Amino acid sequence: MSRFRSVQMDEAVVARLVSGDRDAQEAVYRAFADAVYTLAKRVLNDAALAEEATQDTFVDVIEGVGALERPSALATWIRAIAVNQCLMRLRSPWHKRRQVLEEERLASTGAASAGVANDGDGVDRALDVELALARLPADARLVVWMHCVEGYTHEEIGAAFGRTASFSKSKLARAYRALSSNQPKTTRQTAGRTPRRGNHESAAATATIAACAS
Amino acid sequence: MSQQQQPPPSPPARLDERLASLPPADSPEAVVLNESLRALPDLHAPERIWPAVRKRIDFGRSERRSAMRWQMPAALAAGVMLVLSIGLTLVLRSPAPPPPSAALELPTLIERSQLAELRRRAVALPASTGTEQILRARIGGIDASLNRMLWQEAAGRTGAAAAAGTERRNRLLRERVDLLESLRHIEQDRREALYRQALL
Repeated sequence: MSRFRSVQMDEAVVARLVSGDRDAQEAVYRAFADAVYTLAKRVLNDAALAEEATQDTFVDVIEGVGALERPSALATWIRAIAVNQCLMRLRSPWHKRRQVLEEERLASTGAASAGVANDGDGVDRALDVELALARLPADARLVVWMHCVEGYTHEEIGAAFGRTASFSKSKLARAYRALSSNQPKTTRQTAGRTPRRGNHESAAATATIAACAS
Repeated sequence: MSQQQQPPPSPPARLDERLASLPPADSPEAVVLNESLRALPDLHAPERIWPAVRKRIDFGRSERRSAMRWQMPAALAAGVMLVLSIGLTLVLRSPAPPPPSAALELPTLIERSQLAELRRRAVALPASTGTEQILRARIGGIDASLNRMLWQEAAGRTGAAAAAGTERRNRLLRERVDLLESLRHIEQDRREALYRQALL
């Protein structure tokens, strides 16, 4: 479920935010900061960039809150600004150059990380998923996160990228293929079945371990 | 009777065919991956972000107030800034760097790298932003890679490995020059903002 949709915000606080109340600004920040930072960190794959994007998102939110038409749309609006901040960074020329260095780093460390034994522990599993996500190209990461976690439709993702829905579908399908390729036969069989209750977590873990090894 | 030839599929049809050949988003593997992604824990935004946001909002407000109250001094300050910028440009100006090409040789790259550093160090700034820290870290990383390559060269690498090494070294140096230039632009913007703040 989207981190943004799970945040409950009192309409009175939103009204105070629109009128420039400092306490309301901080309350909104406290309510959404983790959601924005999580989105930025997962997509940009860089803590410093994620901090910067989070900071810029809230500056835009506070300075541009007058443009918010419906108080109930605050979460969606903040999420759209956060996605935009991430997209801006992904499109910057120096970020693209940085990607080359990052890919080299992943290429040198990926093999070692993929070899880490997974004992089914929750922390290990989360790390595996994180690593699998980090190994995707930046725009694919954003498409995956927007669609799978934030619940954006393909049309909305296409529009955010200035492209069509087919662009989003294609990116997502390729990302799935990248995540699930090179899975050992046994893992593919496990992932190919609908996971049984209790077996679900281990299926997720094996699928993502295999994705990491790709 | 010859069979009538089918017309080639239109571009959208080709795209649909290609999409159909990719794994569907609701396949069991995709469902498992989706659930794993959604199960990832929330990250906590570092505490230092809010004070930074607050500072930027307050700075923006005071700047707007000042601009409204002191239009004349602002105009004067803009004039001073212009003079300062022209002066700085004249002092720091150097021939425009040539566009990056494969023909760039090592001495040129080293010279450009040194020039970029000198121009950047012309005026020191009190603190650095996140972006500047990232850029410095990347430059540091490149320096470390270049040092490693020097070690490898000293160890006597020859033939194809040496050629690949030269290509990689030139790429790293080009990257270093670009990063230094980016850093200089960011620092220059911040320096100008500081002047503006001091003058207002």
